[in-house]
This record gives sequence, structure tokens and C-alpha cells, in this order.
Amino acid sequence: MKLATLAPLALALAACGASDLEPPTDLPHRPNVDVDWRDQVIYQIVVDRFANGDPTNDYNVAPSVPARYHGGDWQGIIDKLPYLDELGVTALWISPVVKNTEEDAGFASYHGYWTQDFLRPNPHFGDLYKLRELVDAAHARNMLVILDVVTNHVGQLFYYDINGNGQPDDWLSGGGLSHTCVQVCNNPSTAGQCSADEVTYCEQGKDYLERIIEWDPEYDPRGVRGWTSLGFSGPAQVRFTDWPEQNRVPPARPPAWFGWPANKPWFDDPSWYHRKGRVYVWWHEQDYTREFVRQQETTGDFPGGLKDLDTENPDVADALERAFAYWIAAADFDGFRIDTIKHIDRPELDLNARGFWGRFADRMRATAASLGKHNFFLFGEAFDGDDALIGSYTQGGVDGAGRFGRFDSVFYFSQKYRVIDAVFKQGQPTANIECMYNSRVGRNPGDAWCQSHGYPAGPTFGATAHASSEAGGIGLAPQQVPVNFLDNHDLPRFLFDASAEQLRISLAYLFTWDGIPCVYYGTEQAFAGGVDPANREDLWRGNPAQGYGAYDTTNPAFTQVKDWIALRKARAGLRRGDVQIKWSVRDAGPRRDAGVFAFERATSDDKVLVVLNASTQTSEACAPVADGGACMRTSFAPGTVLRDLAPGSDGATFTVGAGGAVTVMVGPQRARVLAP
Amino acid sequence: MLTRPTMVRSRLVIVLGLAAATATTSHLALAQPAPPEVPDEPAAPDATPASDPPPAPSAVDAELAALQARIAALEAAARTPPPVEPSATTEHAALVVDDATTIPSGLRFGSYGRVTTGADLRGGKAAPLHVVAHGPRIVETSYLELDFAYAMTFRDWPGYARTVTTLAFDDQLFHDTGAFTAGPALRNLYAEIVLGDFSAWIGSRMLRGDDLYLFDFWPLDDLNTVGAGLAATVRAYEVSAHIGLNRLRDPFQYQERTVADPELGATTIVQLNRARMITSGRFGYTHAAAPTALSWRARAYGELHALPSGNRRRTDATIESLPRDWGTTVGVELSAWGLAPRERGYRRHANLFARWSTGLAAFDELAAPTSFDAELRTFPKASELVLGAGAGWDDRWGHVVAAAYARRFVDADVNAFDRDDGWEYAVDVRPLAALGRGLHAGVDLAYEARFPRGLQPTTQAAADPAIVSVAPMVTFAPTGPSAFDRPELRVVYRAAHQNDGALALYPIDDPRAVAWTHFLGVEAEWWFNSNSYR
Repeated sequence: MKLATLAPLALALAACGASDLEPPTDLPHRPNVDVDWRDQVIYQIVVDRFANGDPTNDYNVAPSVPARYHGGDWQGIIDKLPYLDELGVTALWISPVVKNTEEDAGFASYHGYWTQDFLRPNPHFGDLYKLRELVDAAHARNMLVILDVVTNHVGQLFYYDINGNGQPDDWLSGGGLSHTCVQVCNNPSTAGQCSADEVTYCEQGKDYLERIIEWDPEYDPRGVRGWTSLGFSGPAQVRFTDWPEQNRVPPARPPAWFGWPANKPWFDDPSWYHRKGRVYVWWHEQDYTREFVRQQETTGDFPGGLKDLDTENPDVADALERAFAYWIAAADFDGFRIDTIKHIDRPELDLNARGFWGRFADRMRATAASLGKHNFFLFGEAFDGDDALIGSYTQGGVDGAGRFGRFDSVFYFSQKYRVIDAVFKQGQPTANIECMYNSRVGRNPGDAWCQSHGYPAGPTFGATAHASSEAGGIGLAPQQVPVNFLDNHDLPRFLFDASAEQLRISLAYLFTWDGIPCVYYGTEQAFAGGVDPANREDLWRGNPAQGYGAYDTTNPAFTQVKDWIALRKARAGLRRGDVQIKWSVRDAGPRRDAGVFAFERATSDDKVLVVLNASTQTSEACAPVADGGACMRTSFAPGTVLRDLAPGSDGATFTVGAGGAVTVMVGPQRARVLAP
Repeated sequence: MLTRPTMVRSRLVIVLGLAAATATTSHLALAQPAPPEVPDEPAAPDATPASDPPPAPSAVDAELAALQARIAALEAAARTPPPVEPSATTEHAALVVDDATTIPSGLRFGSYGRVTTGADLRGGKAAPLHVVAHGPRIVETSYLELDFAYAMTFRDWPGYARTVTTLAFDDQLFHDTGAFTAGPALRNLYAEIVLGDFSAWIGSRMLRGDDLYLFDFWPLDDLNTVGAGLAATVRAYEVSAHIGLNRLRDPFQYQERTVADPELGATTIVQLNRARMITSGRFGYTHAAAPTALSWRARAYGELHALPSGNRRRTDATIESLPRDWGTTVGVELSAWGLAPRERGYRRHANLFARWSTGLAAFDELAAPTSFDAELRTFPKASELVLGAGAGWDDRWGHVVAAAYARRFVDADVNAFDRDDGWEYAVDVRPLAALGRGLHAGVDLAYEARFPRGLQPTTQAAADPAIVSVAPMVTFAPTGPSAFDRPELRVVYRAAHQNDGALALYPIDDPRAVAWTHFLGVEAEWWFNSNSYR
């Protein structure tokens, strides 16, 4: 009798906790029907450094060591959403979420770019539900969330056992003898098999190539070769490490629900990697053909021993596509920022070669559409100042299977170098801005100055949308949505080698110029760290050098960013307006209009005139008297009174004269945003 | 010396009644392995109550009469001077009688032990298998406690003093591993003075109450502490309290580091030194009736845990501040026993437990907490609710023991969805039929399940791990007919099935992740003369 009463009791109690968890993939997805990516302000977050909301996951943290985990996590971002709300940003770009190798040579994977497992979240940051909670919480505040995606490589999961001794040798004496250069190109009987590029490569690198590190040997066009004292021994054996304490173990097979065929290889199979060694060609890039450089970039391991995936292999491509489609479904991301895109394929050589990106991008859009998500934003990172190169990733193509798209946008590195650094930091002529814009949209054909300064005729960026919003695209041409930035996690912070005044004028440009502004976390706290990892400060420590406390919302940098965002939100012209450049300067140095760059941005119901002064003098948008002294002509009607709306401005007004002419004086490294 | 089993049992039951009458604390202190659920049994108002059934057949009568005479002598001995430390648990009865009559003071040895060996039918050695915190114990590792007490009586006081030392060895059998080593743990090391109805102790001690034998689990009170305690039993009331400290060798509570010596070389300093204070109190009321009637008892229990703040050093030489923290536990237990024709050596009981803990008290006191809130505290977020039930019934046909518990745990972190959080439960029933002369045969049926509020890390999917097991067995316990008579020898086969959720708990590539697991082996378990289990 007792048993009869006890058993139901236990069952009833247990039923109280019966698992009723809904898989994250089955939770509702944000449709983003009304999203226009031109309206967004992206805020880039290195998760480990933004906020620590859950100390329970503080595994192996060393907060004083820049290259180790510090404890930030997804809960921390959730906790600080009000801070971001106050700043006004509308889209969060978070660093990669997948499980990583823990460390390599004492450096930790806090940044997230050392993938070990494409399907499981990094437990340093939380679990999948926490990630989903973050995305949902951001959505509740009308913020979008962009995931940082790495498909080019994995972490340092294996080494090349060149000498066959079964251990990773940090220094292999004589190992360079195994290289193609020695065995083929420098061998009289086989030298004819070497291309001119290879001969050059061997000559340029002959000293360097003698040094062999089995973790990260230099690029070999024929694949990393084995070698012993008896000679050449064919392809080097790939050996995955088995170091569980560092999570440097072969990637696990996917869970059953992933549906990956049991008879197909996975990321633990050496055949899924190019196995050619580390990219070396950058140091002498000008000496080779573009094809050779691109071949090395796309098949070589990323420096640091990050092993390059063979994305030409359909199975590899399929696995990556499925994996990241899963992340869209599970976490409800609104877009991807994709890492190292120029290391996968090279559309600038043939836009109609679909390649990995032509397939990946369309599949991500289709996935988003299948989930009811519109406006899924894809932008890539090609760490390169070549405008044509990075722009090629935004161009679509056509092949035998029909039209295909690529990225909606790219991280605008060429602008970073030629405008942000050259103009606003180094005082180069503001005509660089005009040339860069004209290259992007294809308005440079006859501009000798731009051509002489290396600007392509363009259009370097895609002129048509890859897909409609309903089809998972953003419905906007890539030309309209370059992702503009002042700095990021791979570059020294803007203030590392620039003044607060230079930051001030650069922020004005960032938030008024055509494209999507992207703010690297900590800009609003005036962080000034140098190169990686010094540029990845803990936001929760504030900025002691400036006397700012943690998450300070009253300091000048925060106020500037906040006010510029607010102005951008208030003026449709600043977000979506067409660009009409009204003034630029082709000469550097002191003159009446030194450092002036002026442009109008207009929509059907809003128009603003922006006048920037990048110089350290007060300037006006008028030609020097010696050149006739003519001033800027705008499209505003004569008599229109324009008031300066720029944050921190004196509220000055300017009256438009005959022919739209207006004389606008701007203080050093200041901006005016003028509107009726 | 009585030799017939039936007579031994008869006298033991009665003597136990006397022993319980002199017990001054209800704390049980046999080591980690579980004693039976049989609650402490206070003295019946009358050693041979009128409600007892008629005596056994005439062949026994003479011995009973002789025994009653001895009981009277023992009663007198129990008053002045006090007897040797008695045991209130019936399973020790057979030897307690002899001890009580032959060793009123001096050295006394006791032991708990079990040895398990068996194959998994795949060529390997079988191992315990659980998905809940306290799963069925049908397959356990070997374990041994050696219990030593030395008791001294007082010339002018109605009481005694004693020291208790318990050495415990875990699963380290030289004949199994070939490793000629065994490191014992000191599980009891304390001195106690008993004066009439009052007692006091100081030292290192296990403090435990009633358990769920089939789970090796004490749902209400189970503390391991270094401290001091007081207890009193006044008529039907019992009260006890203790205060203790621990400072685990864990960087959560203790951290040493090396610094430069003020003169030459290096020296060691204590960077973190924070002791966890644990206090507990228990109050009980017992309604004692004749063995054939229903006795019952109610107990209320509480704990308070407190941990001061401290600073520890990380590997990068930065200092991490650990805030003060605390926790509480409240619980109740209801017990019933009796209704047993005790001259046959039967025991029948049922216990119900409920316990609610928060903060530090939601975690084992011998381990650092595993989760914290944003301020590195466990209170008030962490909580544990335990509801348990256990029962045993001996009868002519054999015996049955059953246990069930449900537990809800919520850790201290901020995550609403967390695989550490959730409910779990286990049920286990072991009916064995008497085959005669201590031989029993039957089956142990068990089911355990967990309902995590989070995803399995390996599959990234929600799942409810569960194991069902069936374990037919033959047991031999010649000292009595009860399910709690020991020593007991067993031959056991157990088949256990793990569902997909349970399999997903294994790390990837773990070859143990197979749906069906087996155990075919033998087990021996004994306990006698516990010096601290009271």
C-alpha cells in the first residue's frame, strides 16, 4: 500500500520538472520586414571584453593578460543593453560564438576566431539559450544582431609531421629542404616544372624557407612535403593534436539532428584542408602575378597555424553552409559579418566563377527567407586596401546555373586607409573622398586626378541588389551600404595615433557619409589601445587614463557618438539620402578651403548639406581668391536659411544666395550639418 | 549463549529497546555508506508490552524467560553505571547484545564495509551508472570503514566518555588494482561525554540522520564537520545542535602562494583562508508505542551556512575578491514504524522527508559551489528542494524495501535555461522472497530520470536522461529475516538501459555510451558495532 502511494507521488513531483524546452531553432524568428540597413548603426563587440555578466563561466581567465580570456560573455551584453540603447546603436556585431581551441602558444581564443567546432557554442560566453536570449533581448530593444563568421580556417588543430617523428617540432633543422623550392625548382632536372612565380617565390624566400615550424610551415605550392635526412618523402602527414585540456582535439562529428551522412568525412579529416602551409606571399606581393598571390592567399594557412579549409570541396562547402544556416535558425541572427573572405575565393579574377561565396551567400539568404526573415545582411571582411578587390566580393555573377549573388557589403578597408587615415589623420586632400566614392559607384572614368592617384574607374561595388528583402536579401545595392569604420579589432584604435580633434571630425564623417557606420566598442570611451591585443580593452574597467569610470555615459566621446547617432536617426537624408558632392580639395596644405569636403544628401523629403573641415585651420568652402574665389553652390533655393544641426555646433545659420551659393566657414576639424 | 537464529532475534529486539532508552543524541554517524532507513527506536513504555502477540511455541518460552531476566539486569546496568555505547539501529542488534554484556567499557570495534566485483559482460569491470545525484545503489564501488571507540565510565557520574575514530577506505583493493596502497580518510575523530540524557562532543564527525538505503542518500541531514555538538533527550523530545567549520583545500576557500622570503629564498603565505561555518539544529518528538503498535516521530531540522569574504590570486597575479556568502536549510521528517511481530525479527517502517536549501546550503559542504551570481554569491539564487520517501516491510514471505525521491536544483547563475537546473527523481523497489535459512531471491527495479532546463552540450538539444534497471538477485543473510540484517551476500545481475538523453551526457567518443549495460557479479555488505551511528 505504501508503494502504491509513494510511486505516484514521486512521479507527480517529477512531472513538475519535465523538460518542456523548445529547441531554439523552433522559436519565432524576427521577420525584419521594415528593416532598412541604411538606417542602422553597427556596434562591434568583442564579447570577451565588453561585459562580464556571468562569473560562473570565467574559466581560465587572466584579466591582466591582454591575450587571455577576461570573462566577458553574452549575459554581460544582455546586462548592458540599456547602455547601448542610450548610445543609440541599432545593430550589434558580436565576435564569433563557436567553440574554439582554448589556446595556442600562450595566446587564448578569447576573440573567437579559432574554431574547433562549428556547431557548438563557446562555453566561455554561455550556452545556446543564452545566445538566443541575447538576440531576443536585443530584438526587444529594436536592435539587430550580426554574427561574426569564420569559414576560411579552423584553429591550430593539427601540425604537419614533416620529419615523421610524431611530435610537433617548433624548429626543424633542415626541414626547408623538403620544400618545392629545393626539391623541384632548384633541382636542375625538374626546374622546368616550376612557374616563373614559383622561381621568384623560391628566390625571395630562400632564407626564410629554411626555417620550418611544423605547426606553421611556409607555403608550398605543391603542399607541405615530408622530409628526412634521406631525402624527400612526399606529402607530409597531418596529425591532429589530442590535447583535451586546450580543446585542441579533432572536431567532433555533428549531432544526429544535423543529418550529416555517416559515410561522409567531417572536419576531422585531413582531406578537408588544403595542407599547403602558411601564406607568405604578402611580404613580396608586388613580385608575383595576381593569380599566384591569390592562389597562395586562398589555399595557404592563415598565419598562426590556422588551417585552411578546402572550400572548393563540395562537402566542405556544404558542411559550412549547413552549419551557419543552423546558427541563423538557432539564434535568429539578422546578418553575418564574414571573416577573411579574400582567403577563400577570388571573384576579382572572374566575377562569373561562382566559387564558395556565390553559393554560401545565396544559401544564407535562402535560409533566412525560409525562416521568414527579410533583409538578412551579409558583409565580408577583406583586409585589403584594394578597392577593386574588396568591391568584387559585392558583385554578383552568372554561370551555367544562373545568376548568383555575393555579399551585400564589405568592411570598407580601402576607405579606412585612403580616407580615414590619409585624409583625417594625415591631412591628405579631401578629393580622395570624392575619388573613393566615385570609384565605388562608377563615376571616375574621366577623372585624371583620381586615376593618377590609383582610383579605379569603377564601379567597384555591386550596383544591383543581390536579392529582394522577401528573398532574404536586403533589397539594396552594395554601393549603397558600404560598412564604414574608423577602426576595429584588427587595427590600432583610432586614438592610438590620432587626436581627439581628429576623432571628432572623423566621427562627423562616419555618421554623415553614405553607408552604414560601424563603431568599434570603446570608441565611446575614448580607448586608445595599439595593435592587437592592446586594442581589445575591457570595457568594464572604464578608461583610467581619461578618468572615465566603467560604462561612463557622460564623457565627451560618448556624448559625441550618441549625439551623432541621434542626428543621423533624426534625418532621413543622412541615412538614406543620395550623395551630391559639393566641394573637395585636391591640394594639401594651407589654403582658403583647406581640408573642406562638402556634400548634400537628399531623400524625397529631407535634404542636408554637410561641410567637413579635416584641416587644422578654419576653412570655408570657397576657392582661393587666386583661383577666382567662387564658393560652393548647393541645390538649396536662394534665400533658404540653413541652420547648423551638428552636435556641439554654435547653431550658426547661413543664407543661401543666388544660384544656391553659400559661404560656410567651418572651424578646424569640425563639421557643419546644415538644413533648412 | 543462544544460538538459534530465532532466539537471537527475539532478544535483540528487546535489548534494543533498552539501548534506545539511554541514547542521548539522535545523530547517526556511520560513515558514507548508508545504514538502513529504520529510524531510531526509542524505548517502549514496557519492554514487553501487553499488546505484544502471544509468545512463540513452548520451546522458546524458556529462553525468553531467561532473556527477560537478563533484560532486568541490563536495565539496572543502564541506570548505573551506563552501558557501553549502544546502538539504536536494529541491524546491529546481534552483536550489540554481546558487546553490551561483555564490554561495558574499553575498546570497541565496529565496521561498515562492502565489496563489489563483477563483469559488464563486455569483458570489462562494471561501474556505477547514474544520471541523478543519488541513484540506485545496486552496483557500487567497494568501501570500508573501521570504527574504533574507547569508552570510560565515571566513578561519581551517571555517564561515560569515549573517543571515536573511524578510518575509511574507498575503492582501493590491492587484489583488484595491483597497487599496494590505500589511503584512508579520517571520517570520525571526536570525543564525547554522555551524562544521563545529555551529551556533548567535540571533534571531526559525520552527522547524519535517516537515509534512503537504496540510494545511499540522507535526504534530510547529512553533514561532515569539525566542531562541537550538544544533544539531549527528555522524555519524548529530542534536541540537538552543532556548530562546525570547514576550510576546503580548494581555491574557493584556501590558497597558498610562494613569495620571496624576507631573507633568502622563498616562503609560503596563505593568500586565502576563509572557513565555512555550518550550524545545524534538530528537534524531534517521538510517539513510542509497543513494537506491534504504530510508533511515529516528527523531526524538524535546520542548517545555517556562512562564509566570510576573501581575496584570492589569479594565475595572472590579479586579485579576485570573493564576497561573503551564506545559505540556509530547513527540513522535516516524518517516520513511522512498528506493526511488527518483533519476536520474529521483523522491521517495518516508513519515512517521509522534505528539505529546502538556499545559497551555500544548496551545495555539498565538501565541495566548492559550481555557480555564482554576478557578484560571485550563491545566495539567494541557488536552491535545492528534496522530497523523499522510504519504506521497508519484513514479513513471512520475505521483505520489500522501497525508496523514491524528487529533487529540484537551481544553481546560482543568472541563466534561466541551464542544464544544471531542473528536476530529477528516482524510484527503486527491491522485493525479495524468503527461501529459508536467510536465503532470499527477488529483484531490484529502479528508474531514474533528470529534466534539465538546458541543452546537452554534445547534442545542442534538450533531452531528459533516464535509466531503467532490472536486477534479479539472490541474497544470503543468516543473521535474520529482515532486509536490514547484515552481513549479506548477494549474487546480482543487473541490466540497465540508458535512453538517448543519458547517452548524450557522455563526452563524445566515450565508449560507455551504449544503451544497455550489464553487471553480473557478487556483493558483500556488512555493518556492526557502529560507534557513532546513533
